[in-house]
Amino acid sequence: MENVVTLTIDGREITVPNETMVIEAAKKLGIEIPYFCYHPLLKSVGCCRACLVEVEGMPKLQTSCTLPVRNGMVVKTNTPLVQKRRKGVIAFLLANHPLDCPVCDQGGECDLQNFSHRYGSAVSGLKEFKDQKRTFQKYYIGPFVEREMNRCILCKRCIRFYDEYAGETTLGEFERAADTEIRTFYQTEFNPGFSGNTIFLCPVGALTDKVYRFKARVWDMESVTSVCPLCGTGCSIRIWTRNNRIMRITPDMNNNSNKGVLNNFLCDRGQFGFQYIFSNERIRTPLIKDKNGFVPISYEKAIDIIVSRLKKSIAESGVDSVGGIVSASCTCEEIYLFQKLFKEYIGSANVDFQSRISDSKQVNAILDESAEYSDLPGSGGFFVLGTNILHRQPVLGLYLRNLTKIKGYTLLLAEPYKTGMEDCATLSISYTPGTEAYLIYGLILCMLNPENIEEISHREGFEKITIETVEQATGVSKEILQKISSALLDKKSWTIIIDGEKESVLFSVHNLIMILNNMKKDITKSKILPVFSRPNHRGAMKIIQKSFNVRKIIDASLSGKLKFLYLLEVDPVSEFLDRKEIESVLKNVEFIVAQDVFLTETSQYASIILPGKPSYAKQGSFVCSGGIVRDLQEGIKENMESEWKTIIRIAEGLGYQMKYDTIDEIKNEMLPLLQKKGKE
Amino acid sequence: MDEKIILKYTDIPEQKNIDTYIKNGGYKALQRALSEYKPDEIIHLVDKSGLRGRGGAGFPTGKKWSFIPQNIPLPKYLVCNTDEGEPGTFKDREIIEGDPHLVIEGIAISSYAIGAHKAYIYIRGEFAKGAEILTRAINQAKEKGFIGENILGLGFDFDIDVYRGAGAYICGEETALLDSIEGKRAMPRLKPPHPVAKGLYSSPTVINNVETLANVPRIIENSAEWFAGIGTPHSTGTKIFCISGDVNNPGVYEVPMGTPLKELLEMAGGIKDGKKLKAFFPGGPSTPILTSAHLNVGMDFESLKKIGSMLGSGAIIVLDEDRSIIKTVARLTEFYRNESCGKCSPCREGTDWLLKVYQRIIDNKGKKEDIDLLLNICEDIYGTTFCPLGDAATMPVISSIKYFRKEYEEYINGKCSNINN
Amino acid sequence: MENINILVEKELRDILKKYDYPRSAILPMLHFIQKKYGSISKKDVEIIADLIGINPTEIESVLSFYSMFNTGSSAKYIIYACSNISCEFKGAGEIITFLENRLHIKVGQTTGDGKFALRTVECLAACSHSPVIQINDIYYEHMTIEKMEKIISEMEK
Repeated sequence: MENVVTLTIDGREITVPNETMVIEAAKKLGIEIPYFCYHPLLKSVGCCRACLVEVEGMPKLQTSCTLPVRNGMVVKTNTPLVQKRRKGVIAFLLANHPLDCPVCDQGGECDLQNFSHRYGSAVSGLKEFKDQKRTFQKYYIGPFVEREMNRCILCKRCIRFYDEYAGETTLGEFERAADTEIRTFYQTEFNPGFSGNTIFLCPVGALTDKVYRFKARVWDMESVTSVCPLCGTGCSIRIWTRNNRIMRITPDMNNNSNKGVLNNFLCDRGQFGFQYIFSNERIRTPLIKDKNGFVPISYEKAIDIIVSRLKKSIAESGVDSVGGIVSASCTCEEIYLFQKLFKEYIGSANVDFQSRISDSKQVNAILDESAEYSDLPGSGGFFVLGTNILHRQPVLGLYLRNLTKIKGYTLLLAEPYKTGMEDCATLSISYTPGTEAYLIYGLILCMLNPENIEEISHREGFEKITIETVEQATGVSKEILQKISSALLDKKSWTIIIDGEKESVLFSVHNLIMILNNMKKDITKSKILPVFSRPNHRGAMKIIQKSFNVRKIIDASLSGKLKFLYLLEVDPVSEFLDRKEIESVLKNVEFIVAQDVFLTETSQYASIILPGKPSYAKQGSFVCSGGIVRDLQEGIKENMESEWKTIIRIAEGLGYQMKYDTIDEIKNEMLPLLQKKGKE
Repeated sequence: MDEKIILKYTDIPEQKNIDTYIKNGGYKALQRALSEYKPDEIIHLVDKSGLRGRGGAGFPTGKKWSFIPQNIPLPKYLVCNTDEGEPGTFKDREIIEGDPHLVIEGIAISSYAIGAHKAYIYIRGEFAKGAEILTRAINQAKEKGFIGENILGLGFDFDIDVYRGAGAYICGEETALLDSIEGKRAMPRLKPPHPVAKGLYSSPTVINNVETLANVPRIIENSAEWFAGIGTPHSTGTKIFCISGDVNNPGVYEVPMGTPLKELLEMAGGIKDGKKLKAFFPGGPSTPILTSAHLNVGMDFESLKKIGSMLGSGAIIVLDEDRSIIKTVARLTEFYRNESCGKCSPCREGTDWLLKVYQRIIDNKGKKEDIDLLLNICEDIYGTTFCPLGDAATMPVISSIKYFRKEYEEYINGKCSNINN
Repeated sequence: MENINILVEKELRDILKKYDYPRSAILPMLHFIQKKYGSISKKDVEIIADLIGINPTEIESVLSFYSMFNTGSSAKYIIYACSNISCEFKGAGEIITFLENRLHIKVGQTTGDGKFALRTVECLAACSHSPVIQINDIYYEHMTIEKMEKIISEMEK
């Protein structure tokens, strides 16, 4: 193998890829070298000087974070000289440090504290100038991040994070020498969106979490790993609790791990958005509508009423008079039980998840071939089309920013409006909103010769479309279409990132991909990566197969056939496109059960409202937009009944025995449905 | 004193004017270089002359130039380092103000040698007058066809820009200087890649000091052998020394490399007020201090290295017998503390700490252990910093304690009141 | 006022045109503004950032790194007194004290009428003529208290 080198660290040999830095090679051997500015997901800068090592043949000590491995290199990480210099560096970093550890939120997870403890000097001149420590004024930098400059050791990970990932920021480095300060431009707030990441990146307590400020000490908390429910990315999170209350949410990592961008970073929504669960507006108990509005009733009574209304509708109007819509924010297990109740037990076809308007079979077939996140680094380039990715799946967008802007992957960007990815794009175009299918067809036209086009046109019902009609509809010129299509025909594989909820786009892009893969048979296949707002869109799509779609439920209610509707954590009034239509649908249904965390716009149409649990209090699984099944764990326990148990209770009321004692039993039964076609 | 190479004409006020410069033989070397030599022949010639960088490090100039990769599709740049910031150094200012065309001609020839079509003169911000003189001189040279397209009809296109710094000693460090031209905070870059491979705007770049470049026309005019015959075998040519401090006639003195300090002091009129020499910095405060015991040292790269110091920038700062070593080094420590770019922790925090210790000593609150504390801090700075500024900051501290430990002890014990300043 | 800003912006654009790499225009633009107005305001920074197409933070970050740029109050005459050792040996300290007393300000301050500001600077590279004082862009060499007094009273007129 020519791409690896073998070196010796502290007398032990190791073989690593040839672009590895010595500090990383040492880590693989389990040898710890202290560091502050180095971070596995950031470029090395070599400025803290804590990772100095001795290398045979090199007169000076070397920073192991900037030193690439070489064949035959002999590194020593723990010689008396190295130990002495480390002590020196740590003493320098502490010289102006306030040592206010007892009141610092970083306590317990502070690299400066830990490395000082392990490698620092017990005796030092620290107390010498305790009255002359450098101090900075308090300074507001934003709603989520608290800056305590006195603790800063100027590793600049925060600024480098913006340089290498999040992009332009008002957070910067000012003045120089020992007076250097990290702050923003004239008190401006520094960009929300990804600001919370600077908290985890900060190795000390200079940037801390304002939401979590002074709430708990890290050793007093419990934590579980789970999945962020706030978009389709499926970021791993760690839920930190104290006395069954969420204190904070962090990525499931610490500074010493590298599980990749998608597991090491969060967006501000994911990190701070959990606070809605503390709201006083939460529904805590079942409610029933009477003349004066909604009044509380007991859970038992609510279930009894629901069951009797279900029975009544089925008896009077048949099984198709009842139905349910479930949210793609629910777990796979909830969705599985929900559809099982309606389809298998009751025998109604009226069950679906929100907003789906076409047959899932075809969609699932396309999605089964889609890209997984782990495919992204192997992709030759990215074509992002109409997704507003930084808004829809922020951390995926963050990852793409890094891959394209820093790692040099090509990005073609087509969006109707500016989305904040423009600075990373090789080519960035805008088009008339809603004309994605035209745009893709235009690209296909540019790629194919006329005979082939006829065949495609026929299939797609695009018979009369010419490049001119595409230009007119999309507002994109022929020259630009040609530019993109020839880029796509480049000798590399592409990942085309699209809005997975727009099925027309999905089908068009699928055609485009087939053509691309046909024309470039000798290279890795290009793939689609769909983007979703909901955490479990793909799971819902897989589980609710062979059903009527939402459209049919709507039609059934409009014609008065639907008598009973169960809305599980879905709010059609604000989520569905045609608000007027959905309002008349809901008015038409005799009995509606709405289960949710909050009262929604839909709630007013409900006869009974059941409280729902937030995802942080749920066990179960999601299928993320990259197609991977990810497990949720209960971060907190809430005393209301779980959704899955409620479904079982209703089923039991109807006389069906659903024999599940745990979520895992449901999961094991449901899992085969999630299998990709053609995969074992 | 007939061996002046660079300061030969700087006393003539009209030398700034291109006509006078040409009358005194100017731009002949450029004509000759472009018409008689291929670029690599000039590199070879400069290499043979033994010319070494005058900025401080003393790297062989011809060798540096030879590292510029040819046959790559990137532009190449020459940068003339005029960020003369080392305290006590003022030779580059004398050269650019006194004989700007000599520098321009040197830059043109050197650019031709390395294949650069664009050169920058990075001049420290404080030299407003120097920048003006250079700009005027460049415009004159453009009018006469020494700069521009197809210079002298010999097929070489070449342009020079004057780029002003804005007050940062660190810009003397070549990669920090490049960052400064690129409009960034001037902070040293990680090496490798070295500027010759990836420098200004990520292109191959040579950075040379003013004095170095000013020697180039002379080498072409005369010969490599002629240049190599001046000075010592490994430190060829002349060196301009800037003598300041407690001497009667401070100023610039151009002498062959290897001239003993004693002679230079005599040229500068000896120590002021008939006092005795106490100590001197041979090449600016970034070089270890020496004492009257070193009067006979030859002022060249090797001889100074042998006695534990360096030639540095050639700034000889003289301290007479009444100067306080502690106050002097304290002032220099303040300088390094404020001029550290702040990038790496040992330099940023170490210099800050050193200054605090010095302030304590000066405030008569010093402790016996402070001397060892100073040395200990220096030990942890030296060799661990990102760039040489940290090392430089330790030089005056370590060397002054080495030679004047007793004075430190006396000062701390309160027995030093008779020493001024 | 509006017109002046348009003119200044035009000159800034001309500076920008000189450089293939837009950021290289930052220092020249800042020098230009400082020469024109004596100091650089937040608004100036925003204009430059806008012309170059980067966040104002980047400009401010660069500006604050260099010691010559002035963002505080400007003065008609900014007096920079070299205080490094070669000047110090020749009496720079006394001259600085004289200036402080003469102008009734401390180093770093500006006189109430906005006429003089006093700063100390590092070596100005004119050590053979020490002590050296720089006022705006001009060096005054071999300074003595008498010469200083003459210069100040001249400028006060």
